[in-house]
Amino acid sequence: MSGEHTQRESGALGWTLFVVGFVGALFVGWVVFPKLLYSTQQQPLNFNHAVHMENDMACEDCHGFREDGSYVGIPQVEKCAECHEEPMTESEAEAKLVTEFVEPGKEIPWLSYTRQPDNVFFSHAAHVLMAEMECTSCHRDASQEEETPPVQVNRLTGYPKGIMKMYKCEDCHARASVHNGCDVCHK
Amino acid sequence: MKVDRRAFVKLIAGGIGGTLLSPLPWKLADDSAIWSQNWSWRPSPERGEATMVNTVCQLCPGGCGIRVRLINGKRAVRLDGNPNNPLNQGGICPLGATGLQYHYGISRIESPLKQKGTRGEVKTLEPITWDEAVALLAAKLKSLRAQPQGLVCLSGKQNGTVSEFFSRFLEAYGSPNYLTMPAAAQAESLGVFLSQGVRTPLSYDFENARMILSFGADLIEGWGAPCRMMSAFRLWRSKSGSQKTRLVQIETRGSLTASQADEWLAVAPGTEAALALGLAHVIVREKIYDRAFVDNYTHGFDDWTDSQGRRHQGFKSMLLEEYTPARVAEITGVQQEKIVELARNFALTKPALAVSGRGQGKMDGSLYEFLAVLSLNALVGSVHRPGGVSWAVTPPLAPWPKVVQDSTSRNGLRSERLDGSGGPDLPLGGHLLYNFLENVPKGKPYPTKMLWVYEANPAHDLADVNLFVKALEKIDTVVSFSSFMDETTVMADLILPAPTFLERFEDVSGDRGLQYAYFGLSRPVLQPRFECRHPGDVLIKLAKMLGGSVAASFPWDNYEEALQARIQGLAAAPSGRVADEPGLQPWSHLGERLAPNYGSADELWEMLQEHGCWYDTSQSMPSLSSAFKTPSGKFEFYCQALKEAGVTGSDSTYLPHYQPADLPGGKEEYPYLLMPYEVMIIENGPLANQPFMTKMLFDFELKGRDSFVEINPKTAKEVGLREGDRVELTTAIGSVKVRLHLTESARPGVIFIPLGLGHSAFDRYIRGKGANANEVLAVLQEPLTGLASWWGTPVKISRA
Repeated sequence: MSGEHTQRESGALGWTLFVVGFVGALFVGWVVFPKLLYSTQQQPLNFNHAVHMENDMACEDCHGFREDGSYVGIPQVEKCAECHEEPMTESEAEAKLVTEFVEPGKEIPWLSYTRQPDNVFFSHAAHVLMAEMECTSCHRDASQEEETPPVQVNRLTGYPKGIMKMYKCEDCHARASVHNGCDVCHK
Repeated sequence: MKVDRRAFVKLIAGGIGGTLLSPLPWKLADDSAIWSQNWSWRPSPERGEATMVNTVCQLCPGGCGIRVRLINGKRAVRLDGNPNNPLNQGGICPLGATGLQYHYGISRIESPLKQKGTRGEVKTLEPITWDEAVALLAAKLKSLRAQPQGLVCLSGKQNGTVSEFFSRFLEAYGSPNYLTMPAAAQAESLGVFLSQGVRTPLSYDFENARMILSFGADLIEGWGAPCRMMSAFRLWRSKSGSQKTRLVQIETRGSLTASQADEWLAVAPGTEAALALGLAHVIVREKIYDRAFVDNYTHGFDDWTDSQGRRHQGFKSMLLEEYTPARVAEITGVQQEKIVELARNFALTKPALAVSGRGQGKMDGSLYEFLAVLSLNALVGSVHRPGGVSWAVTPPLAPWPKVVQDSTSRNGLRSERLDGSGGPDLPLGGHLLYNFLENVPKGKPYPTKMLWVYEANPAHDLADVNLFVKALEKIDTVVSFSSFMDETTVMADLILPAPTFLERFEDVSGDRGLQYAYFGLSRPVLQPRFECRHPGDVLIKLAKMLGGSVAASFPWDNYEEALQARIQGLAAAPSGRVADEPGLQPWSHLGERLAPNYGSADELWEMLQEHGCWYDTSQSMPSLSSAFKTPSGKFEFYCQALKEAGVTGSDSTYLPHYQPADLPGGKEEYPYLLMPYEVMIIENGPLANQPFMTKMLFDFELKGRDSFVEINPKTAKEVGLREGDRVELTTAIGSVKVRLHLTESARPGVIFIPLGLGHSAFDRYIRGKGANANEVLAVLQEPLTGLASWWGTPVKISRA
């Protein structure tokens, strides 16, 4: 009798532990793991997109295309120096920009939010100039940002969280009836 | 409550189930693939701003305009064609496209090296400083100065100011022994001299011709300036109807050019000249030649009487007597009807041109074969006319001051050349490298003390390669000016590394065949990776150390200054432009003056660096009435200049004619014929195939370490061999092991072997791939000219 009871009790405990294990693993997998996988890194300098937009600057003024059609991406410090040879405001970030980067002519080690792996060839010109896609169809709309958000960097791969996976490229290419051969992206 | 084994297993099972339903394992699996891309030792392209800069390629003499994609202004990541360049029109060849592997490759020489042990041993090559290297060479040169003719220079480049620098140094030092590697331009220059009185190669107006008759020239496989030929081919194929350009390929092997031609005539080996004369026979017999040109501007067409009253046979009666379609059909294997039809087509399609020279043009070629084909052009009036042939137009560079000579150099220059060129037996001159190699071991006419090799790889690239190796045994000092550890450089005593094509200034004037003046400026796009120095700068330094008249002949501080001095000539010319816009078509403006788009020599120098090349069309197509500088002032079918040079013989000696080749080895012992061929994806020059290029070869061309020869299935059956079989080819010269590829494009009885494989030097990614054809190919020299025309060697084949 008592043996039977113990067995039933133990069975119930077993299932409870199963659920504990299951839920625990789900929690670790969905909540803890992503927190562990990505390190949160701050940009070397705060960049206030909003204030630049207020001063009538357009996105393309900094993130534009060069004459040869190649995309600038994150501009080099030379670009900043066009206006910020000397501080224009009391901003702490601006003071840092001028003293630490503009004056010594050092590039700002900006962290990229969307750097694609080396084996991927991605042409902004093909997407923006030829296919006339909006920047915001892939990137966040930064125009109202006063603070640059931190960058989530994958500890294992070293790439930012925002990189596009291959299925996304293929999916979009398929929907837009664009060539989906390997050599489009893997040159 | 006790957690027993069962309960624990359930906990684990739940954990596994939960994990599988979370992103953890999948994300980890995916990320670990990317993780492996980011190992610190994994090569990764540099990130940064990309820029494009223009320069001119130096990897072959073609002179294509190229664009280099640079990251952060210092790392080259890609080469492609410059669309503004009129010559290559934005195209790039496999060699150019893979060119960065030369620059960043591991067979680069990192500093001057001195051989401390036995010659040929890589391990005993010891790095020395530039000061030591130059001092060493200067001391050697000083000690040899009493007998300056013992210094020999072999250049891999046919033209260009760096080659001129070398020949200038030899002249100032007192040696007549400046030599170049074999090239079809040699027979061509000589033929143009004998028939037209000007010693220059020809230019071919391929872009405007409506019919092209190619006697063995592989026009789209690297002949001339390869990318120019590819864009000309594109042009021919873009025309339609009556404007369509027809290409007829006359070649023993079914090459790529043959397969892309409108018609392919597989002639018997070495009978191209006979076919050309057979076509001429029909054109003359049917009176469809250009009478206005032949009557007014040629000499020796009809039988004639000289000033001493002697009768001479003319070209016409020789053709009519000796080159009947029946006889030519017998020699060449081309049907009589075909000969007649082709001759009519060629004479009646205007403009039409004929071009000769086997493969890419890296063999000297036969003078008479060239003259036969040139005469065909003359018969149809395609000389100095658009769509025909004319002279190569050289850019009007300002001359350097005259070489200063002292009594030592004057005495030295008076001595006979070591290759016998210009001497009593070989009065026609030229660079007779094979004669030189034969004379060296005999010490004839005097010993060779020092050999300089500049961007040439004779230890791999010459037919009967052992000739060179044997000759080296008798040469005290060998100096190599090369960027790479090639077969020749390995055997040098002193190695003076040169910067690569992306690290130095040099002019490239365009290879064979261009119908307008072209000057390409290659410039240092990148900082030198290693301790290398421009050969021009080394020569200036040496001259200064030697002092006296040699130093006075090199009054510049550096090579760049000397090159810039020559640009003055271009700037002063009334016509010419820097190519700075896409779609230029100079061949549409032949003979026209171009308004310069620069104001001064300095501006021109700046613009040349930015855009790459200068071109001019005003000097193309000289006027017929004043063009010919021959004794008769006309185009000479009957070459009187040969007589003036002291060549004696019957009338046929002075007329283009067909001579059957005297091949080495008996027919009984060597029943087949081995013929070399060249293709664009196997580099057959001073460089070797880099891995990217070798990857492009099919596995019936190169598989692992084995290269293949082409053989007709019938021939293979005769000897009981099948596709892929390993065989040994033996000729009078030596033997190589290869594998067989059976193909109908090979003529029965002939075995075709690719040139350019089988390197034993360079680096581990290059060496040991395939067999070097030159180990079994014999040199065949034309008795009159001494030029090498090695197109075939009798061979036997046996299972290996």
